[in-house]
Amino acid sequence: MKGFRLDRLPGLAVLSAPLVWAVLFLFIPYLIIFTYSFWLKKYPTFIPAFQFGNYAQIFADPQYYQVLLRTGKIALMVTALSLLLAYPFAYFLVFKVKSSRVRSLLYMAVIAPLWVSYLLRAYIWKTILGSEGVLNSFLVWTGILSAPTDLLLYNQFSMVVTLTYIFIPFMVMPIFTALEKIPRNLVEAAGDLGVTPWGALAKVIWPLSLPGVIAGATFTFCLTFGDFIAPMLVGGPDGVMIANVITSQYGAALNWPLGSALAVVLLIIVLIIIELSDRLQRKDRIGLG
Amino acid sequence: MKPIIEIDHVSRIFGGRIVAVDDVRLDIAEGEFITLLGPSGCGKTTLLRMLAGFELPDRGAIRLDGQDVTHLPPYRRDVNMVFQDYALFPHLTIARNVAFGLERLRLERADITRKVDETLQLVGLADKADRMPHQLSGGQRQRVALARAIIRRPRVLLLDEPLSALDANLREAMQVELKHLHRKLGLTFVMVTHDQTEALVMSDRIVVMHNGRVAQAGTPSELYDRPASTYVANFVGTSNLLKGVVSDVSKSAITVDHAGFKFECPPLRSVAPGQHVIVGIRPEKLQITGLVNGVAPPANALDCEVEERHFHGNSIRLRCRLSSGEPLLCDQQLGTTGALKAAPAKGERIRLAADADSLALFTEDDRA
Repeated sequence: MKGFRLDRLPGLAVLSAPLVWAVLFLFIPYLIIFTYSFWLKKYPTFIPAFQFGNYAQIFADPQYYQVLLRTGKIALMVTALSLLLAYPFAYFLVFKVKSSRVRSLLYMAVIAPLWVSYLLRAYIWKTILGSEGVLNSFLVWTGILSAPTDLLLYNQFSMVVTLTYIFIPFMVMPIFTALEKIPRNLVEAAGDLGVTPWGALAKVIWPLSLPGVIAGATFTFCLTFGDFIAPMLVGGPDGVMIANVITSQYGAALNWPLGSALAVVLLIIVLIIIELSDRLQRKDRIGLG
Repeated sequence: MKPIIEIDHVSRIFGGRIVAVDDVRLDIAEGEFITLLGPSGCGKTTLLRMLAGFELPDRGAIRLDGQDVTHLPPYRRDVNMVFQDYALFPHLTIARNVAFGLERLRLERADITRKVDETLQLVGLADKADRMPHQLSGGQRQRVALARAIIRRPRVLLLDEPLSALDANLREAMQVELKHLHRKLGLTFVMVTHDQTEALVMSDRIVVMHNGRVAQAGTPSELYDRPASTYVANFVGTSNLLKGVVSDVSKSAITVDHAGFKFECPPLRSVAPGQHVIVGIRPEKLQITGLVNGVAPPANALDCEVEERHFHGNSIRLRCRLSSGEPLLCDQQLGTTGALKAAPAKGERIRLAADADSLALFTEDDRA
C-alpha cells in the first residue's frame, strides 16, 4: 500500500503546481464573485445576504438586459464577419497555395499580430478610423469624400471591425487545422464522381471542416462577448458592452453585488455556449472516427 | 477493334526535373482487364492518375473512346476510380457514398434508391446501406469504394492498388470477386499494382513499367514465358540469370557457354558469336536428372551442390551453387507423398536440366 502511494508521488508533484494555481486564482475568485452576487448594496458599501435581488434587477431593468442583448448582437456580427473572411482565406491556404513556404508565411501573417499587445492593436484602429485618421485622409485624397467623416469611429461599426481584426486569428487557426486534416483524396473522389470543385466544397469540404468552424466561432464569440477594451477605445455611446457595465459596477457605481451578478450571468452564458459547441463538435466528429 | 483508351506518347515531369512517366504509348481495348505493374516510383500510379484527370500530362495526348480528354477535369471524364485507401466520405452513410456519383445526373429519387440497392447487392452489402464508413471492416469498405465507382457504369474503371490494404486471405478472395465483377459488367478495368501474383491472376494483359517507361506489355503467360528483359524476368516471377558468351549461332539454336556448361537456346534473337549474353531459367523449369557423375554434363544441364532447402508446402525450393560459384534456385513440386523425402538433401551434388524451350536469352542492353 505504501509503495503504491510512493509511486503516485511524482505524478502528484507535477500536478500540484497547476492545481494550486487553479484553486488560488480561478476557483477562489469565482467563489468570491458568486458569493458577492447574493449580497445587498447598502450605501456606502454592501452587506452579506442571500437574496436574488441583483439577478432580478438584471432581467427587469432594460439598462442591463439590453446591454446583454447588444453584446450578443455584436459578438454574433464579429463571429459572422470573421467566418466570412477566415474561411475563404484558410481554404485558399490549404487547397490553393502549392508552396508550403508561402503557406506558412501567409498563415504566420495572420497569427503574428497575436504577439503584439492587445491594447496596441485596438488602438491602431482609432488612428485608422478617426476623423483625422488614415482612412479618412485617403478617402479625401482620392476625392471620394469632400470632407473627413466621423461616421467611421465611435459606433458599433468601428467595434465590429476592430474586434474582428483582433479575434480573427482564433477563427483562422481551427479552420485551417480542420481543412488540413481533410484527406486530399476525398476531394479527388468527389471530382472523380462528377462533382465540380464548388460541389466538392459544399458536399465534402464544408461538412468535414465543421468542427473547425464550430471551434473558431466559439472562440470568437466568447472572446468578443467578454471584451471591454474595444468598446472603451473605439465604441461610442451605443457601443457599451456587458463587460464595461461590470467594470463600472466595481468602479464608479460601487455596486459590487450587482457587478458580481452580471459577471455570473456572463460566465453562465459563455459556459452554455462552450457546452453546446462541444456537443455539436462531438456529433460531427463521429464520422471521422 | 478501336481502343477505348489511347495513351499517345504521354510524359509527366514533376518540378521540371523528375520524369515520372516517360513517353508512354499504350492502347487499351474495350472490355479489357489491364494491369500496370511495377515497383513504387515506376510511374504506374502517375499514369493512372492522368487517366482519371488528377494529373495533366506535360507532353502527349490521352483519348477516351476517340475523344481527346488530355486536359479535361476529372468531373467531366467518363471514368471512375477505386482509391487505394478507398477515400469514402466519412460524413455520409454507405448508401449516400454510393449515390454520390448519381447526384449530378438529376435522377428521380426512386431511381437513385433502386440503383444504390442494386449496386450494393452486387457487392454483397445490401444490409449495410445505413451504416457509416467507420463502422465497416476494411474489406467491406473496399466493396463500398467499388460500388461507388461502378454505379455510373463508367467507360473505364480505374483501380489504384485496390487490394493492397487487405490481409492475404481476403485479398485472394477479392481477386476472384473483382474478376467476376469484370466479366459481369463488361467494363474496361485498368488496375495498378506492385503485386505480380495479383497481376498474373487477374489481368487479360499486363504492362510492366520501369523508370516511367513500358518495359513490356503482354498477356500474363507471354510475360512469364517470354520476358523481353532481365528486368521483366525478375519482376514477374523469379529467374536464375546466368552470364555467358555466345559460342555458336545456327538456324536451330544459339549456343551459349557459361563456365563450362553449355546452353542451346531457341534462336529468337539476333546475336553474334563472342557476344556477352544472359540466360534466364525459371526455377521450376529445372528438373533433377540425377546425381553428378564423372561424365561431362550434356547441353542445358547444370551440375551443382544443394546448399539449402526451403519448404513451401506444395513445393520445395533448393538453393544450389554451381561449380562456377553462381547461385541457382530450383523448385520441385511436391505432388506425391514421399516427394519431400525423395528431394535431394543438403550437400548433395545433383544434375539439373531444363528444356531448350524454357530458356530465355537476354542481351546486355536489355538490362535497362
